[in-house]
Amino acid sequence: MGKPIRCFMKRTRKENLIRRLFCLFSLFSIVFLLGIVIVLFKEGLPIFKVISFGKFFFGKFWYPVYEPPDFGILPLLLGSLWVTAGALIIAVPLGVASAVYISEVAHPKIKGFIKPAIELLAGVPSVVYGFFGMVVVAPLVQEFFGLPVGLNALTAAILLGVMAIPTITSISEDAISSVPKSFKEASYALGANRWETTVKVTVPSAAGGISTAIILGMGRAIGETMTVLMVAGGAAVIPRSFFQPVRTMTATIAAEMGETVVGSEHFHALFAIALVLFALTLSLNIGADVLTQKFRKRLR
Amino acid sequence: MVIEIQNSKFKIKNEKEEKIEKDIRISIRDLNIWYANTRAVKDVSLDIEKNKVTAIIGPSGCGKSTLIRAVNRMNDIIPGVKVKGEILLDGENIYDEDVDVVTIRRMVGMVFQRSNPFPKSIFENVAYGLKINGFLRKKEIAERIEQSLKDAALWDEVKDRLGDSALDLSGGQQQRLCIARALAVEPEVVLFDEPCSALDPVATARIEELIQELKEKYTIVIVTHNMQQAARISDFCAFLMLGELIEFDKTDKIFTTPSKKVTEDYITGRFG
Repeated sequence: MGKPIRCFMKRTRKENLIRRLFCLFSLFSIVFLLGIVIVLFKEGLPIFKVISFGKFFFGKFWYPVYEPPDFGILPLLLGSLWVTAGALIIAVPLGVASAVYISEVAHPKIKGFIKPAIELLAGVPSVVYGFFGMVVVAPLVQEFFGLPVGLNALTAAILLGVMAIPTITSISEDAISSVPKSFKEASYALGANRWETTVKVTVPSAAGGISTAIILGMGRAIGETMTVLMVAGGAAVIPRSFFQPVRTMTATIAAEMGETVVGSEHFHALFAIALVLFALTLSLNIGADVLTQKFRKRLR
Repeated sequence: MVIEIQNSKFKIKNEKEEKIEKDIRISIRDLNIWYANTRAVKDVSLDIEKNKVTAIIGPSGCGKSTLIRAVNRMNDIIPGVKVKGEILLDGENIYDEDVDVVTIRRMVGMVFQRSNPFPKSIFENVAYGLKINGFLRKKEIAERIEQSLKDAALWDEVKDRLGDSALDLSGGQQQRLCIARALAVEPEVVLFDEPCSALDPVATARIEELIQELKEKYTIVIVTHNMQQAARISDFCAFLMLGELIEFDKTDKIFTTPSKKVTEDYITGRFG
């Protein structure tokens, strides 16, 4: 009688072990995230002992190695926002229009080709985009607008826009093709043609998913580092036009972290920038999540 | 003997009525419909009278939905569907090449199996059909919306919250909203494709009552798998099986003295 019971015990013990092991694996990324957050706060907050919040966020000069140094991130913050806004101006119409074309218009054969092609864009390493930008896009922009340099906010925006297209297209496309067929049928039955149905019923019904796509595309653009480091021009001044060289927050961290003394004010300032970036992308992700939930409820 | 005489009198009277009242709105002639290689509707011919309710009944997969969807050319949007034969709407073949499908769908409205309001406000749902059909004056749109919501027996329940999302309505209300949406463009014929199959008995009763009222103004065709429903609300009844029209007659006749054995077997519940 005792034997089968012991056997059973052994099995549950083994299953428990496996369960815990998998739990540990899944906790791994959370532990990592926690670690990052802790380090960001620990290394970023000390800068505010030296400089006030107001001076950090609204200071117009970023001269970290001057004596005395200036740690105003306004030029960097605005640089990031300008480049991201420019990228969205390019990526949103192109991305959403491609999504509509793929899900509503394209013949299945064309769809089978164009969808993976757009998704392939997402797989190109950002350094390749940067390289392409320096060699091809920057000279074109320089020549077309007659500028002294091609490495500026516009070039960066164009490249980031192209990089954000796959995110926007593929999420929007999912949202558009999951609009129930019954909505389209109702529209056709009232005498609407395909165009009217797409513009007035299908796309508005997918609005939640499309906004999520745009927010995630924005997150992609704001966090991108290598490309902007290579093509944005790198001048830490408050941008006045798209034809000026700018410097983003990400590019600043990447360019300066290697040359700064660990534990110095400059070091802490860079961490504080990273904290700002983290807060920005986190709120974008939360925003996207909220929109997705709301959208799901609406279509229940 | 007395009974027999009464009966024959009754018959004569009936035939007279038929001749006077027969006013055909839709005439289906030798209709065949294929999905790729499957023939879903086979040589169906039937006449649908004006201001009457015509029910199409039959077991699942008999082609009744395909048949009703042919009447406003909704099958056009399904790839691979082929239609042969004619459907005459007031004498004009809607499958002629130069016929504008938009016009057909405006004249022949449709209500679907599952209520499918757009994720917009109640007002916008009813206004949609008007807007795409070129009604732009706000006053006219508002009047039409009120009228069609009244016709669909929904006005009193929603008049104070036209701006609310249509998805907040109950299932029965949503279906009546879809009816109002179809009525707003002033069709002449309204097709109902199993409109009550997702509704509870109370909501079903309201829709049935509504269909009875609507036949004053519209010609109605309804597909239903519920035979009691067909018996309750229709004037004519077509029995379809495996794509073929088995029997088509006045509803009382189909349900009391069907001329074919198979019809009788179906309506008495021996199969289906």
